[in-house]
Amino acid sequence: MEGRHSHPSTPIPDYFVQKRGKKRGSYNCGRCGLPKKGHVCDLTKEFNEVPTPTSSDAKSFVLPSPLSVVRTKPTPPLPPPRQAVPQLRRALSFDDIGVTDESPGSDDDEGESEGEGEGEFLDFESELDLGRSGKLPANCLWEVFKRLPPSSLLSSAKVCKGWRDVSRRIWKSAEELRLEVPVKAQIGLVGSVLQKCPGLVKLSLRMKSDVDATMLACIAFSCPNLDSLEILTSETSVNRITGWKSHCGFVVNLLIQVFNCPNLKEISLIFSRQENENTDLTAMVNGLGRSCPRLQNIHVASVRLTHAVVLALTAANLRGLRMLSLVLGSEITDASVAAIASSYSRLELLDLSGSSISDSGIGMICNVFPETLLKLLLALCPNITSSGIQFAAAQLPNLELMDCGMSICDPDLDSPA
Amino acid sequence: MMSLGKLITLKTNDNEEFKLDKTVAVKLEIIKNIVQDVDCTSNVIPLPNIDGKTMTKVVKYWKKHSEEGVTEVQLKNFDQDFLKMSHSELHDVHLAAKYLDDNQLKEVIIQEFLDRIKGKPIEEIREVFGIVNDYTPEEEEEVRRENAWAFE
Repeated sequence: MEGRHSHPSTPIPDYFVQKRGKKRGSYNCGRCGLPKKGHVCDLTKEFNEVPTPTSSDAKSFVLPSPLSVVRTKPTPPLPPPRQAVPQLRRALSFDDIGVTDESPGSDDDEGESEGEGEGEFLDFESELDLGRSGKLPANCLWEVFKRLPPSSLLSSAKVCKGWRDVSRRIWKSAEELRLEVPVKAQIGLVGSVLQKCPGLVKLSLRMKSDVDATMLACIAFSCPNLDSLEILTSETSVNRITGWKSHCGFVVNLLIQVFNCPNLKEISLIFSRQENENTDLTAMVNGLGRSCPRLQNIHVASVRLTHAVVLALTAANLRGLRMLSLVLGSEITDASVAAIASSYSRLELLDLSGSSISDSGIGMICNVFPETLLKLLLALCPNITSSGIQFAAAQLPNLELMDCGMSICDPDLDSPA
Repeated sequence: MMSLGKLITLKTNDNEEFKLDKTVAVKLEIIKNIVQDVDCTSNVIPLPNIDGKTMTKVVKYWKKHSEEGVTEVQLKNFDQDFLKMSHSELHDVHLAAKYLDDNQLKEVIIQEFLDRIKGKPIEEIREVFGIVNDYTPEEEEEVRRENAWAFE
């Protein structure tokens, strides 16, 4: 097609990248720079062919305005289309290995990141060598690749250098990765994937395999910017894990030692409910406190959560802690609440579902957090009563969410907030 | 006034003209903007980045998809047939759709590209897209290692 050379698949010069932020509404003539309204440009004839993004008519490329072009006579052609802002696929997911269709969720991810991804993408566009991507220009490939399931994205790199470059860029732009580690995954493979995405901010690992220090070291070295980490050691529905149980504590402690993530803000650890799960949670929490002083959000689900663990946590003195979720710890008691209340008086979310706290624990919560607490979750707590719940509802004016499902007999009193 | 004319004429860069019912054409952002913004004296809208061959395909797609009473199944079959073109033609249509800001068509094309890539052996992809393997054996080994997850 004739006008092909002027399409944005052409390498885009720097000035274009810098000026691109300009929006419609403040048009100047692309040829002479005069205000566009009511203006008939006498330079038009010289440019009566499809403009190419050379420095001489840079402005015409920056300000496509079909409106005024139609007005002027003789009618020049529409300028080349504005570069559509491509949506970065920031979240890559390995959940869909072997699955052909994308989950609708990933579309949401794209939508959210659309605006902020712009800058990054422009860098990518401007420095990309377009000559090598086979017969598809890189920006088209980009749009295709960002929707490939990760396994296909990996193999597409093998086609040719141009494809490899684009796929590398996709990986580099990823900020969120949900990685399902299959039972047979080799350590090096996980590392090889993570090394591709140094920009990861959020990592969620669903472990089905044995893990050792090498792999965790890989994660640590590959993802220096991580500020949210989630590790699921078992699927809630079906437990297919073999060989994992005995490793769990080992892994988590390694995680603390190997990971040097002083900026980690969020950690979520969901332990399997197997009886031989024997992680030393106290030591783990101690380690967390030492290596991740900026944690804001802690979520731990384990039947082995005890008062001792809570004490270790309060001793850690995490100044930034706002959300604390210690779920399934039946040995968490009112004394634990007292400890939490004395150390972390600025909590916005407290989730002690599955604990043994009683109404007096609720009383303490009400005394300490009357201003800050927005969410209180006390599901499956057998020792609290409806009067405790009512008291909390009355005493915590800012509460947005209260979950006390299955805790008390009278279902009418659930979620009074 | 534009609103009086029922037909809009789109003129491609090789001077082919396509007359479109306005209700079809205003579905497209770029055309809608022109129609709204301009008290045009002529109903001819130039499309300098699209050639006649490509525009024929695009118009065919629009017409089918704005037909009254067309069923999902019919559209699906139509799309299937419509997409039976070479990847360079597909790409041209993609560019056109992008230029015309037709997200639906863009989406359809990208999906077709995806289907042509996803799960296909490397050799087949190279063949379909006319790509020459430009790796040296050493580089090939390196890439294989880098992306080993996919080749278990």
